[in-house]
Amino acid sequence: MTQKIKTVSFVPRFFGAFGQFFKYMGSGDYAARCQRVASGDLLASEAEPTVITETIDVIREIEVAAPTLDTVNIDGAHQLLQLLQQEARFIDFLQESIDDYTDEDVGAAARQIHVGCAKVLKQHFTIEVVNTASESSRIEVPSDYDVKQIKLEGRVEGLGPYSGTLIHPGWKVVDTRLPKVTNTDNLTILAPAEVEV
Amino acid sequence: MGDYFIGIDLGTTHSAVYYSASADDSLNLQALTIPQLTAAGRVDSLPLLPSFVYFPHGTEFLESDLQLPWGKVTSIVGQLARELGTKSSGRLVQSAKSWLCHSRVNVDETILPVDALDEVQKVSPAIIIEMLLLHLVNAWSNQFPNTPISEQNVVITVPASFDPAARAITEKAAEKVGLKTRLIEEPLAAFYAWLSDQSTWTDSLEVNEHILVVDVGGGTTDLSLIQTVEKEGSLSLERVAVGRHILLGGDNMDMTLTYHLAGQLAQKGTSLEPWQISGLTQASREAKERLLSNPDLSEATVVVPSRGRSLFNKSIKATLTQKDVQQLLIDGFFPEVQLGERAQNAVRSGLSKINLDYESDPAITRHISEFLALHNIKPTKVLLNGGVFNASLIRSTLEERLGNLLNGADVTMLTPSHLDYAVAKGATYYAQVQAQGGVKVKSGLAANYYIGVASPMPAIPGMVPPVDAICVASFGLEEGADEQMLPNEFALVVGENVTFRFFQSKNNEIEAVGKTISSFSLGQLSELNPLSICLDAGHYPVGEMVRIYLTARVTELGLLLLQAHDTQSDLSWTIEFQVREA
Repeated sequence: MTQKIKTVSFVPRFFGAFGQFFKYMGSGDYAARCQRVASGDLLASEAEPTVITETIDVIREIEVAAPTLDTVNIDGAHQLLQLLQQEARFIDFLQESIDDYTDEDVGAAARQIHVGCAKVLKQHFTIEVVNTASESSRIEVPSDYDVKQIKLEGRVEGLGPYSGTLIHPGWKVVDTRLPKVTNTDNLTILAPAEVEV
Repeated sequence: MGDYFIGIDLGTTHSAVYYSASADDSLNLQALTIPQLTAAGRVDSLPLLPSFVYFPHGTEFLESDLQLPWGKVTSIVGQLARELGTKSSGRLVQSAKSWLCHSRVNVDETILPVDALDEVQKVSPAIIIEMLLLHLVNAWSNQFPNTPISEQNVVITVPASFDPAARAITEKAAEKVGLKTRLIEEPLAAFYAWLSDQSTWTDSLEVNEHILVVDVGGGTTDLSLIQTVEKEGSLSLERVAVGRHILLGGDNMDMTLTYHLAGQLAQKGTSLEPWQISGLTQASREAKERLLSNPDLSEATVVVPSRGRSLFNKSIKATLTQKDVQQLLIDGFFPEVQLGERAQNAVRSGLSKINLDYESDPAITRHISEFLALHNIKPTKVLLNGGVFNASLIRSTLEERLGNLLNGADVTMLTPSHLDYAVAKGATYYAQVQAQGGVKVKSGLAANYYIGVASPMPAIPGMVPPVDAICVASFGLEEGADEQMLPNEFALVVGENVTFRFFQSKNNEIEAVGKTISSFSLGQLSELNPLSICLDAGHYPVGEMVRIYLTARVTELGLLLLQAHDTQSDLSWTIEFQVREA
């Protein structure tokens, strides 16, 4: 945007001239600027801005934030506990000491809990093995293996590829179908108190 | 034509929905998952919708707790309803479908829940069916908002033993929730599911073979016979007989084990409370499955933990042995029987609460033998349906019993499509076959139908004029077939309340339309619910006897429709099987 310079009327001009005299005298810098204006240079605010379009390639280095420890969504954890309690009385089982009961009692209870927990797992998750090779078989692991999926153990050295025995094929969740909830406020109530009236 | 074919298995204990896209060339039948409440404020999508409706107490839930993807509800349908019903009484409705066939209760009578608390508003069986269907419709709209179900080809399954009135009620309930549906019999749907799995079904079947379909659901057993016939040089299929409505199913088996264990516990001095019975049923079902799937296992422990937080304290423990299971289930439900042996009727108590007419003879094999003897047919192939047959021991026992029943004749067991979902799947396939062509099973009326006609006689004090039954529609009459006209004329009373009596034959011998069964031999027919209506008098004076001729036809939707036509004018009256009186 350009701005027009407004003219100054005679009286302020008359008195202002005395001030300008001393200012001109006192400052070399000011005097130099006045000379520039006198020679016809325009002030920046008066001049039409020139638009310079220039395409430049920006190579930005993004700084990756150092990993910080974060809490996972606790609602999901609470819901899973709710489901396990509802179907398998999982919390009841773990909150009770089993020291005083015989293996037979615990075994019988474990069967029911197993049925319930398995139902929850099957209903809400699709779980598959990470590595489909059979357990205890020899497998090859490439040098650029995914460390999340494979954990090398034993005498790990060199650059690979590595060959070793599959101790445990691992588990991964390929699909999650958790129930929807209307309100996440009361998920901390894993099971309401039951009152028979 | 809609974009999808939809099959709805409206089961007594569970409902399921399958669908396939009509644009798909290859057969791709998929299950619809049904969102339902599984706890307060928690919605889960499951492949089955338990056919239970629960009417909660005002303070039982927050308003936000009963939110489904399509909005708030005031009554709960599905898994949560079933669960709540085991803990609270007087608020749960179950097996609503079985009431549609009840001989003494009108479907529009508000009687459910049967044990309703005073503050619970009772509703009619027809309303419950509507609520269940509406839930399924909403589940569809939720997943396919751009293809309204009212524009799709929908097929609903009904038990083969449903009488015309029960079919009409199902049809009407579907219409009320905006569905344009056809009906198909459940065993037939299971057979269609089998057909959908075969690349060439003619390889497995030969001419003049009979296929027995045994469909044992949670609460009902349904039998049907399908025959392969040669028609114009190629094989075609006909449904030739259906069994009667048998209220006996997988739930009876679980109950048997429960009561056996409860008896065992009672001997030890432990008496069970109602909540323990349901816990025991659940636990014995699991034990049964373990024992049946592993014949080497000699016994399984059944534990009912206390309702308190301790799993061990006050828990009830019983042992179910392999021998018990075999004796109770195999000998109780699948005993060795001879052909023609009839189901036994226990002596009934004079008074009983109004409830469903449960079967008194639990022997499924005996029901099969009675059915086969009645129709005098020896099947060579058997198709099983229902979760009960997941147990290989039950499958093999039934196969053996059938072999003996038919004097060692070779009976081949067809491989069922899926024991739990076959009905919904088959219904979808049927919808597709109807629209796009494919092998159809010819299935007309499942019995001969008769209407009661009073014969004139001189007045005798204390004697009502005898009623003869005249056949109005014969077995095998197909949908969309030409109207059948009765040869004689009748007099119809108009403008006044009159009662019509209807009868149904017990076997599948085709009767000629117009054939009269005299009042003395009415015993050979089973009477259906009478209909009491007032027909519009039109231009006739009230109470006039109008000369009419009767026609019968089966509508496109498979409903039997009787029409009376005035011989003197264009007036005609429709006598529907829809309205039923108690």
